[in-house]
Amino acid sequence: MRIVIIDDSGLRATVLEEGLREAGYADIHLVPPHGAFVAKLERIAPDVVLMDLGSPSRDTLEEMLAVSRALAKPIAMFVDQSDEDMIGAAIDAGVSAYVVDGLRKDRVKPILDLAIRRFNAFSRMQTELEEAKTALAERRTIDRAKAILIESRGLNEADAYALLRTTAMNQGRRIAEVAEALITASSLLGGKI
Amino acid sequence: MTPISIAFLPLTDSAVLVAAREKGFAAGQDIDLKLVRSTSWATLRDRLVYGQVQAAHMLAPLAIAVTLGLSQHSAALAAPFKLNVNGNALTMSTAFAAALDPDLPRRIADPVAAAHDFATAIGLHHRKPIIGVVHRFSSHALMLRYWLAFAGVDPDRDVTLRVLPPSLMVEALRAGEIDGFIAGAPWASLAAADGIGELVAVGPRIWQRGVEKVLAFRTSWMEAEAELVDRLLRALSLAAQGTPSRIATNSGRADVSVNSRIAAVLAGSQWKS
Repeated sequence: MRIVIIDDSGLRATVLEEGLREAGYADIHLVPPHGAFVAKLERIAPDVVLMDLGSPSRDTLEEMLAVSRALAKPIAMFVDQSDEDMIGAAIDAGVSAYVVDGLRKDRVKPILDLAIRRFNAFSRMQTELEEAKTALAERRTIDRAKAILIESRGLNEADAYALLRTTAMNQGRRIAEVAEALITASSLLGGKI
Repeated sequence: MTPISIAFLPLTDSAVLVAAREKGFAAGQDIDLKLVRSTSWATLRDRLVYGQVQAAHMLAPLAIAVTLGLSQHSAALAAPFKLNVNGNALTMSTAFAAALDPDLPRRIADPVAAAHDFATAIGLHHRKPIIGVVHRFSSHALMLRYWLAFAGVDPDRDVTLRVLPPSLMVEALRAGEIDGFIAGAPWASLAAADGIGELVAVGPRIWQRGVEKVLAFRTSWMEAEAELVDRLLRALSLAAQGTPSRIATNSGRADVSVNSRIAAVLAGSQWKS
């Protein structure tokens, strides 16, 4: 079974490839959707093509599937049109899969299941990374705002934080927002920090 | 409010949908309109065909192709609302355009003469010109084929058509991967501004009031939800009246304030390409 993964994101493709190799698929090729990727695909002649549903190059790929004379068998999207649940899960996860005609559903299903799981895991990972980055940036903002309060009002660190928190609660805003506003105001007023 | 999801591509002719949502026309019809951004026609089509959205901002020929079963999984689609007419332009590399009428307004005004000049240019060229189109089932591709036929050029034999996302056309032209492309705004202008391409023909001179994008529904859903669809179309129609149209522009009646208001809405990051 020859599988091609078309993907822009090096990391996501790697995550998917690793999963497939662990599951015992050895014939896997990574193809980024740039330049003459269609010609490359024709040379590889895959049984299954996995692609990010969000890639703008899907139209280019489908055109190639429609006109290619190099690919002996027609390739159609998804496995079995009757399997609505799986198609829904694939679209939700952002996976599109093209499969050569005649490949049995039970041979393709595990691959698609795996791709869906890996894509979901990858987007969870990205969300967590984003959240971690935001949390870190917010902590820095709050630290700077605390420093301003400590310096200009002579508060200790705990009181400075308590003041930010009470202000945020009274105004129904987030602490990071209040801290941001304080930093802006302080810099407008010619503060050092 | 009744929720409706519509898949769209971030192109200027999604303006009516965006205005219907952002300017309260949908809410006015008791519809909670959700717009689902897509990056390819294939993905937009899948979302409609597999029922993840109730309607889609679709290339008119693609809606017909899906119904006929020519584009992957077949599904009966209906398109009761037109979102745009025309708006496409054919751009060729400067090297290629050198063989055409150098008077640009005259070249544009007479697409039949331009097509004959183009046929001659193909003969002067040392290989088959490669022209980028946005999709096999697009008004762009159909218009190009129609125009080439003015001069007896066979689009399947005498040129190579390559499908590319419009956002990649200018780069592909610069890199020499294609010799020209047909796409909507602003790609032709960008290529001209960069000095790598010239306008060769424009949509309205090839095909007046050529249907560009439609709002497509699955026929079964549309028929089952007739009352809701009526409300949605009413909202879109009202939104369209507050959205600048090409006709208004052509007759010099464009409302500049409406133009700039909708431009400001479309400049929001979630609607941009």
